[in-house]
Amino acid sequence: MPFAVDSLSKTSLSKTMTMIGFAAALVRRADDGADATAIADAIVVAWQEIDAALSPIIGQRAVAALYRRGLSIIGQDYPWLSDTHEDVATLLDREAMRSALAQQSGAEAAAGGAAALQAFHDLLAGLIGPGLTERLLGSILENLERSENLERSSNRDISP
Amino acid sequence: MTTKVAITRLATGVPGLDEVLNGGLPEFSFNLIAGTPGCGKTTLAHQIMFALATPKRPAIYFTVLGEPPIKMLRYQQQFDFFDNEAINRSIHFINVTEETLSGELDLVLRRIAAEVESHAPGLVFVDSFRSVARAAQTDSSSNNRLQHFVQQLGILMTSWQATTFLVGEYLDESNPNPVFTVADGLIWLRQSVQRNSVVRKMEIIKMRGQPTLPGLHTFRISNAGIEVFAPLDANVVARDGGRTQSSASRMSVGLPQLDAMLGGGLPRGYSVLVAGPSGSGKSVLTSAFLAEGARCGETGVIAVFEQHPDRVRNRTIAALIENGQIAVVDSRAPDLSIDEIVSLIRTQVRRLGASRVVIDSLSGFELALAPTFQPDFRESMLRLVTALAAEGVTVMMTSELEDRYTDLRFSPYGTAFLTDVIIVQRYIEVESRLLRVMAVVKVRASVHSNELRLFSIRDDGIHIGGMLLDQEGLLGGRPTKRRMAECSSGSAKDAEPI
Repeated sequence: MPFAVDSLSKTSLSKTMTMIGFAAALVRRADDGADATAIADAIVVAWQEIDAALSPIIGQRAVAALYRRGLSIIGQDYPWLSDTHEDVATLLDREAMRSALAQQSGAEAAAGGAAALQAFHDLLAGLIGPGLTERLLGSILENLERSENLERSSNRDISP
Repeated sequence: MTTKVAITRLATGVPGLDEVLNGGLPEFSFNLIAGTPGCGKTTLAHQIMFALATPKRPAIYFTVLGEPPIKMLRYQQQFDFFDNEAINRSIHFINVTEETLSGELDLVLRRIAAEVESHAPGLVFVDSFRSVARAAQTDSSSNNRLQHFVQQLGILMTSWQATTFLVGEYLDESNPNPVFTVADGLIWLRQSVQRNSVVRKMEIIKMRGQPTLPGLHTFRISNAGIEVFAPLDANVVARDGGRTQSSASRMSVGLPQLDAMLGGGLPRGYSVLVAGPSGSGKSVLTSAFLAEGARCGETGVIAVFEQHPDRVRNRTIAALIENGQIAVVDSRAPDLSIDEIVSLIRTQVRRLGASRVVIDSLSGFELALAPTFQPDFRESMLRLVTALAAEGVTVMMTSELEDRYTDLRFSPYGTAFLTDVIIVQRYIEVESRLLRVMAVVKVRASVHSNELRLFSIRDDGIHIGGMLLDQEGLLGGRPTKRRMAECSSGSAKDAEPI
């Protein structure tokens, strides 16, 4: 299912411009023709950084549980993603996600990956509030968006 | 010049707690915040942390097993003191669940040490420490290991110049837990449950290096966080004394005839008990007292403990409240403690610089107290009167008194001896009319009238008339006419009937 950037602002419980920006950047990169592997790499890096920021604070089990819940929420639209996490896993299984993303088209991988991030973000914001979520993840997502945009522009420079 | 070390006291940011601690928390102390589940330990720890943490003096809050950090963050941010901007800047939450689950205390200690070295915090919190202790209890030597762990932690934190707080559920304070020995400070939170009432209490069992206020101090948790209602320091009462200096001067109660009966007005700083049956005019008298103060440029505070306080105020008082000359303490909070009430009144007295305080009524006040304090009402009254005397205010209290006619009493609480002045109001029956009489029963260290004077209540307040010299047996409620011809200087006509 293609991911519509507009749908983020309609469906999310709470959202920040940074999250939408990163998700939008992913989708644009896919539109530019980035393949699923490149998209998967970007998404896995994002999860790695989110995990690194949150696990010391709320515990790796809590991060893994929220991750799994997020995948379950988007499971109807992206069933290929919801099977990538064990029920009682204590760690976020990034490799399983990378593998699942890489098997999709670039656009589908970007849409599914962005939806998973957004679902996780909204769950967290619903639990600890958008303000604290922004405080904990805001700069990470900003940096991710910046990197994503840089990546996109450098790719364009190479192949106009 | 002294060569002794000077211990800095940290202001905790918890209203009332610094008074109980006698100046704040000693810097670099190793403290235990203990108590049963739900008594406010984590809230207290957070409130102190948010008050004290700065980028130069950052805090680390180690979360161990127990309340999941995500839920702790969810609920703690409901309090006003929780500042999102402080997170990851001056406050760092660090979860050590995995290390604790291993059961290896050395692993936990190493992780804590690594984080402390990395962030160089001035404040360290471990919540819940009981989880650490439980996780370590795998064999018979666990107590030794725990003691070793606590000592190592204490040494580590003190050398890193971190004021430390271990937060934990300790259900049995008599159990000699090694943590109790090592800790410099032991703050115990309790919940006293009686019937349907719950009162939160805090006790500073130990605080090395400084004398704290002994006893159980009530506290309340609101959206603003914890507020401790510190009792008035006995030294302050002794030092300030209030009325000993001011009793020489007198103030008007707003009724010239009553002033005369009091021997020339009310000595400043005195406490007055106005006792009488329902509807006899006690509240009207307190209104005259407050209104007279306002007329003289004084401010006042009225503490009401009635179900519908608006109904008992007359127009004059309502106007004075409106323009800020009188502050109202109208606490509808359930399960009040005497210290909370004193704190509420004292805050308003100090805000306005008030000289007159009215408590209307003691009966309502007793009902407003949590059941746990009601058996000690006389003691509560003493503390209230003492605290207000220390503020230097003149306080007028009303007391509902059942008119028994066979039993001459002035207070249903046996509290009459606590007050400096007693004014009693009674109903009497004369010529098929229910009339009111008033008398000054007591004015400490002062001459006063012993007359029983008729009075009436009109739209503009109390009017005091003369004595019923041709009647006797007034206090029995049904006076009879005296037969002496010379008794002609007063009659029921001196005062308007009701």
